Amino acid sequence: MNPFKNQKEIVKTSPRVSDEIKQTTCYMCACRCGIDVHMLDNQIRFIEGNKNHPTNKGVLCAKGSAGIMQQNSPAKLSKPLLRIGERGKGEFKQIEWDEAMQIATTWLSDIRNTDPKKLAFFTGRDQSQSLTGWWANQFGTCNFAAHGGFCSVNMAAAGLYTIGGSFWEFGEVDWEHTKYFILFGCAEDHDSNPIKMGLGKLKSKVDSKFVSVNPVKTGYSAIADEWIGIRPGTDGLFVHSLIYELLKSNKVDWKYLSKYTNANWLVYNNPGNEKHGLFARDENNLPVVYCKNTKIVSSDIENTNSAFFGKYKYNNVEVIPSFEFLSKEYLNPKYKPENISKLIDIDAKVIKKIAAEIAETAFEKEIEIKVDWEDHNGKKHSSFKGRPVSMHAMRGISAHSNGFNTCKLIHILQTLIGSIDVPGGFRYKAPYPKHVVPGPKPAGKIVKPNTPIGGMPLGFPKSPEDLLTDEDEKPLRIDKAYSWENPLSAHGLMHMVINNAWKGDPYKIDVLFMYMANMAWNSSMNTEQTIKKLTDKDKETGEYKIPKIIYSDAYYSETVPYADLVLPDTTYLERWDCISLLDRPISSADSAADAIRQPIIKPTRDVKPFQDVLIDLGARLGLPGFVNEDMSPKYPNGYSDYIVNHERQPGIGPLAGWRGNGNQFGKGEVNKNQLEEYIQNGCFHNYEFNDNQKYYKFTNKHYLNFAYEMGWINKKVPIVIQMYSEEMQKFKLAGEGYGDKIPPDHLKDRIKKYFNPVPTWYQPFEEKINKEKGKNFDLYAVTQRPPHMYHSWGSQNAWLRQITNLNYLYISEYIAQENNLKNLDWVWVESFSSKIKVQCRVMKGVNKNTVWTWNAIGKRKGAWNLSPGAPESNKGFLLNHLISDVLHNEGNRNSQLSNSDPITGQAAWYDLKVKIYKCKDEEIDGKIYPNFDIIKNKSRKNIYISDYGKQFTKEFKDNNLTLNQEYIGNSKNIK
Amino acid sequence: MHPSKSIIFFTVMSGTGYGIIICLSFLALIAEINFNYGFKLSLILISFLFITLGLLSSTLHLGHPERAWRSFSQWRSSWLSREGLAAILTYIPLMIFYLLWFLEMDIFKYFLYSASILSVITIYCTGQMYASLKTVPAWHNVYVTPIYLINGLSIGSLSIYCLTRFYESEIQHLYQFTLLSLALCLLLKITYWFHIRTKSTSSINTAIGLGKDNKVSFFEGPHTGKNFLTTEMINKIKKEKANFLRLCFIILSCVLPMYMIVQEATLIIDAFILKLSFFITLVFALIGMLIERYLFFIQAKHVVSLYYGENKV
Amino acid sequence: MTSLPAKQNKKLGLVIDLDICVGCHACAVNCKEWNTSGHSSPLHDIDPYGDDPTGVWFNRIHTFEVESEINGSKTVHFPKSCLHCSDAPCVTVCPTGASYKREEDGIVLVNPETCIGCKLCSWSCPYGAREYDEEAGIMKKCTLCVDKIYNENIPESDRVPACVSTCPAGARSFGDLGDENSNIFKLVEERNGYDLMPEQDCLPTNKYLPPREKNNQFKNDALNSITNDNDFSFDTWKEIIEDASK
Ligand SMILES: Nc1nc2c(c(=O)[nH]1)N[C@H]1C(S)=C(S)[C@@H](COP(=O)(O)OP(=O)(O)OC[C@H]3O[C@@H](n4cnc5c(=O)[nH]c(N)nc54)[C@H](O)[C@@H]3O)O[C@H]1N2
Ligand SMILES: Nc1nc2c(c(=O)[nH]1)N[C@H]1C(S)=C(S)[C@@H](COP(=O)(O)OP(=O)(O)OC[C@H]3O[C@@H](n4cnc5c(=O)[nH]c(N)nc54)[C@H](O)[C@@H]3O)O[C@H]1N2
Ligand code: SF4
Ligand code: SF4
Ligand code: SF4
Ligand code: SF4
Ligand code: SF4
Ligand SMILES: [Mo]
Repeated sequence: MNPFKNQKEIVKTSPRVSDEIKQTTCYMCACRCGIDVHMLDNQIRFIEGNKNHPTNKGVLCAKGSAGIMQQNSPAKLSKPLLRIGERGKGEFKQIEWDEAMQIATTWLSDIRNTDPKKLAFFTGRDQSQSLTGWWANQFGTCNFAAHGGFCSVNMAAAGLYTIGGSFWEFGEVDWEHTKYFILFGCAEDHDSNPIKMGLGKLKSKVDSKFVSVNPVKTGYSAIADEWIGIRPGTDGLFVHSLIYELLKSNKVDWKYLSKYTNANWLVYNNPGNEKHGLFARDENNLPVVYCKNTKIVSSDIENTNSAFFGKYKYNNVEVIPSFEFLSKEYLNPKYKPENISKLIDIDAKVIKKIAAEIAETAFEKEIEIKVDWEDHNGKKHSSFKGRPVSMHAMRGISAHSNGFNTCKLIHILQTLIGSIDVPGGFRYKAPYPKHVVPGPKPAGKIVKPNTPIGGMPLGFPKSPEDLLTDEDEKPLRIDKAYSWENPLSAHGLMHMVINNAWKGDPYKIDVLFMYMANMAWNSSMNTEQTIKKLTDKDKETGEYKIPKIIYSDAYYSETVPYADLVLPDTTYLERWDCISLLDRPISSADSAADAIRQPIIKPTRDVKPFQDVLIDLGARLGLPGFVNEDMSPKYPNGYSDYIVNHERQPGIGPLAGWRGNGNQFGKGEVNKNQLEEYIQNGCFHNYEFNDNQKYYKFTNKHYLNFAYEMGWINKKVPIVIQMYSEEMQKFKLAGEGYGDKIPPDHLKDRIKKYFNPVPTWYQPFEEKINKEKGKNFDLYAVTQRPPHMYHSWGSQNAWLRQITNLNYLYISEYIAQENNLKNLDWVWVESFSSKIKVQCRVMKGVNKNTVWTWNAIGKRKGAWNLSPGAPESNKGFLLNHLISDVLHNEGNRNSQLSNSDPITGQAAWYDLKVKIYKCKDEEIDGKIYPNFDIIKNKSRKNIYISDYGKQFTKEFKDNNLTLNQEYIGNSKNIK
Repeated sequence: MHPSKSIIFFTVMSGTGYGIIICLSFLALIAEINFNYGFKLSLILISFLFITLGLLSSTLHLGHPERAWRSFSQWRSSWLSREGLAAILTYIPLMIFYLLWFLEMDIFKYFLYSASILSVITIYCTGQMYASLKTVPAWHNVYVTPIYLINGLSIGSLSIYCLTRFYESEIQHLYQFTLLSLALCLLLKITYWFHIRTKSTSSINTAIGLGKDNKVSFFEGPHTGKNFLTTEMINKIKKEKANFLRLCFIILSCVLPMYMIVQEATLIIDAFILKLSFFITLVFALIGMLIERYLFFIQAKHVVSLYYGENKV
Repeated sequence: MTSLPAKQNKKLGLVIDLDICVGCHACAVNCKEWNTSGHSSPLHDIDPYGDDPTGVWFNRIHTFEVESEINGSKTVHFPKSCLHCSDAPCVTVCPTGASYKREEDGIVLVNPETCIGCKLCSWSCPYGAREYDEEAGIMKKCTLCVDKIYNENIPESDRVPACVSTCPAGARSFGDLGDENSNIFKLVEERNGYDLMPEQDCLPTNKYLPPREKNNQFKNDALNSITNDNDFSFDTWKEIIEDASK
């Protein structure tokens, strides 16, 4: 031991990384990337992206990289819990699974034997909706939905009712070829990694441009070549203005319109008639067009010379091409950039510039991919022509009460320039496109004891007849989905369930069964009131107004203490899962893909996968699909058994890959080795389309034939883009009083006003009410997803919470100046329904009338195994406290409408209007308001040091051991 | 920078200890320093304890004190290594000096001189360790090392002076020497404070490197909470508080001792009270020095703070 | 001795593209994930579920707003880890030799067996790239994934730093910046890669690529209306269109 000698380190550059790599699918968010889990000594050493996976191609986001700490979370539930104290107090006793299942079975079979709709089964962030929806069907309740209603049903519905596909995770930008990309209101989205990969690719091209339309300039918007800091809720106007400019200058792809859209279909133009605005149809019920030489012919005849304008007669009634109607509407000078500019906080010059750039890129930078392909008429083409302008939009559009129409407007814009499913444009992901409107219709009109409802509870109404309302036009569903309040609520209205069940409006329920949704916190509007409703009791009977609540969560979330029976789920690394083409698959535009999760590690707690539990429950209840004829369980081995053996239609099951003898894709008999095959292949199956099937899918013969064979579409006919929507017109007509099924009086105007055959912009409701009532909630308040947190569940993660464990209200310099505010000042933020006290920070990159914050950082004290003093609960806050669940306009209290899009029922989170003012000195106590009491959680553990990885240090140390033994000071390291 | 208690304690204590030795050697050059045993013993004890406690505290502040011996190896490049080495080397002549001085053997002087040269070197190394850090502009200047030296010297000589009051003895030239070093200490420190008002060339622009003409502002840090860098390198003090503390230092460590020394004759107080007041003066002066050292850290901005919201350092 | 190596065979390092970085923190978390079981294992977290959690991180993402007169304000995400400086002050100040720069590839490492935890190196680094592990009592830092980039137990294509292979946007590149023929070197040349705080004279190996300005790709910034703009008439417009669309 020479103290003057330098002790050199011998670095072990090739330590063992793993004994085994297990592959599965990430579930730190809904993007569902493929992951390689490196296992060392049966523990997780490292999680990285699976390079061969179609979704993420090897990359991994911050959440995915923190999977180890999710697995390690001390907030994991460990045993079934039965409430013993008052609801909400967190007083439970641990019970055995058997008892838990018995309780659930008793509660549910009582209902099923009498009135199955008394079960409201709502499943939140569910990736197994084809199972859960089917379970609800077999149970016989119409009251089922997952999270889409409070998430982005506006995007799904607007797309499916217009182009037969949609944004969200169901379509993607042609990143390879696009030259001009406009992103509307998106911070993360479900396509988390693909969008980031795409942006990286796009930005690295010399001749590309990325435009972000977003009131806030962070994340993706930060790297936009141009940022359009729009005023929230006004994108529709912006798009109107772009459409105005393009139309006015004849920058329209006429060929595309005439071949692939209904722009030339003739509509009856006889106001005052019940057919006004509907398509004129021939004897085969096919829409007709006007042709110069052949006059009026059926629309499915290939012709290039049909009229877009003019007035004609069909069966003695005046008809006009739908485009005449549309263009007249859109060329209204009120949409001139100069007239729009002030309303959206964007310079007219900028609007004009963007329109010009779109036109130039679409029409002068046309691209072509040389491939021989055939359209549906069998006509041969030698290339795919493309207009390399692409668009994507998400919740900045959808989370407004005008979101459905705004999203439709964007699709109209895309269609006008001919950039849907063409090279460089927006592309459908399999199993889309589907025929507009896709089937099936929502089931549940008739609910009877011990009888399935005869179809999936969620579907797509085509006309008023398809609504789920009774003879008095009152809602049949507890969430009032598919009622006149929100007719096209294709994903239900999970955000209204608690409110309605509490009110008993339209009826009382008995059991609220929820899975994977933090409804007592961040996924509710008006959280404080929602919590109260969960614990409210009937004054007369002393019973809870919502009698029984069953909840399945994997962690100790804010909702757990509000359940009567808690069914603890496993983590995503501990269970089988199925990401199915019947549901929300992981397909890309080039391929149809599905995936599974396999258990990577065994849980050391007494927990069970929710799907296993549901299947078991189904069997115990004797639900038809879940038992054999002798009433024995049909899937005794749980979900993995179901994934392999269940068939929805003959030959079609949850997984499309390796069916039959193992070589069949899509259709084929059950293959007992299917899961093994998936595991061998990295837990996914990717069916790549032939090059001639990849674009123009709506007309592409080889694609359409294939889609038909797969059961994705049920007719081998082209899918026509519906620029003009007959479905909307049908509802409008009902609003005007035509037809057999018409809305109740108080909703007539609403239906008449918001249902339009061509989409138009209107002012978001809360803003309108603010103005009408002369209130001064003049600022817009929105949230954004932090890229490294998934809603509420990231905060239990030891790594992720170190990045963000509190949030600020970000305000513009203008607002700061007006209110004399500076960084870290405490402010009151007040809305129609409530007020909160938070800390603000000033920034430049935000629309001047907008304030915003990161979503779901605020936590209730005591939840998620966090210490009650955690910053999340004392400085972190939710904007949800301010967001009203119902509209504050006049009218009967009992008929208060939900704060949602009037068409789809999508929660209007971003309609929020607020005012802010500085706190008085005496009001500042360093803590946010409202301050909820602490949730009791007896199982909360204090952990002072986390040293994950220590167990692997021997991989590095043993090499040096002998060398160091002789030195004093190293004795610690000698084993 | 984080004002670590152990480092503040270390630098002040051992600086004082070394200062006593250096001062003694000056005095030995120009006068006799053969005092009574009690006085000697006190000086020996005080200087030894100050030096040793200081060094111990700095060692214990390490993450791995048991490996401290490893720090001798890098004397070729590291001021900290040099400092450690010099500190240890100082002990050799120092202990011999103590012994010989106590035994009244005349050759003690040579060992005193050697110990004192090594003490200067040790303090110099300490000073250089800070002064060589380009990352902390308030330290990276010509004042820091002299300040360390003069601080040690002034408080060292003040310690001896106070002891002379206690033992009621006189040392030639000590009076002038102490006053001079205290004055110099004050002067240098004030000059230093003026100097550090000018900012370095590092700014938020150079830190993220996006153009001189742009206005760069901090938006979000990597963590909403603290991290090692913010606790270790980014510490702030309110201007008013800092000014008050500066004043405390000036009064406690410079003005008060000088006043006591100069006005001693005019103070008509009881001998015991006088002794006591010199003792208190010394304690106050030490406290003042601790304050000075605290300010030396807390007022020094590290360039890394440019990544955490500072625009200039 | 801890002086810097006289010659450097290679200069391995990272290049970070500020034009592409979306500030997603993936590189920071994946870095932590790899390294908590790697050379410097474990990267302790203190009070992980408590009131004031902290931990050891080698890579961090900052965000700035940059305002210029011509282009207005821009939000810039700014990842930062050790820059593996050629003239690394963190090496020369180290009293024990625990902090050293490898001759073979220029990677700056800390020997966990000899570091005494004096923290001086962290003071000397202008970039805040050193991480003291309170629990372990030693200094840690980005190792450039030295236990991954040469690791023979993983496929060759995986032998890149964790932060690079994980970055969803592709904003990070890794390679030999001392080799003028390497792709990474050319990338830096082409994109005017720059050094952080050059005035600190550390000669960092890692380079940053500035955001690109993409202007002037378009010929027109306004569309020519086919009708008279001021008193627009639908019927006139329609006539022109009908003629044109034939
Ligand atoms: N202010 C505001 N509010 C919003 C939004 C907004 O933008 N702003 N966004 C809305 C949107 S789009 C959505 S989708 C919702 C999301 O809101 P939620 O659906 O409530 O999402 P999470 O917070 O992720 O909660 C899901 C629950 O699932 C649990 N969980 C996690 N993993 C598992 C598992 O493996 N099994 C089981 N059984 N449970 C698990 C979690 O612990 C958590 O309690 O929030 C909505 N709320
Ligand atoms: N990391 C992470 N990823 C997630 C999630 C998560 O919690 N974390 N959640 C997943 C879920 S459930 C969903 S639904 C998706 C949602 O993904 P996103 O759609 O990206 O959701 P948000 O973060 O709500 O982003 C909305 C964006 O719209 C902007 N915005 C608000 N109002 C307007 C407006 O009126 N006009 C325009 N143009 N922009 C506006 C906001 O500033 C924000 O940038 O993300 C999914 N991915
Ligand atoms: S985006 Fe991230 S969290 Fe979501 S699935 Fe992919 S890796 Fe996991
Ligand atoms: S992973 Fe890439 S895009 Fe994300 S913060 Fe790191 S460098 Fe930026
Ligand atoms: S960045 Fe800092 S730690 Fe890394 S080599 Fe340079 S000076 Fe050393
Ligand atoms: S903390 Fe460790 S690596 Fe850093 S200077 Fe001190 S001994 Fe060297
Ligand atoms: S190179 Fe490795 S250690 Fe360094 S920042 Fe990247 S992942 Fe972390
Ligand atoms: Mo969502």
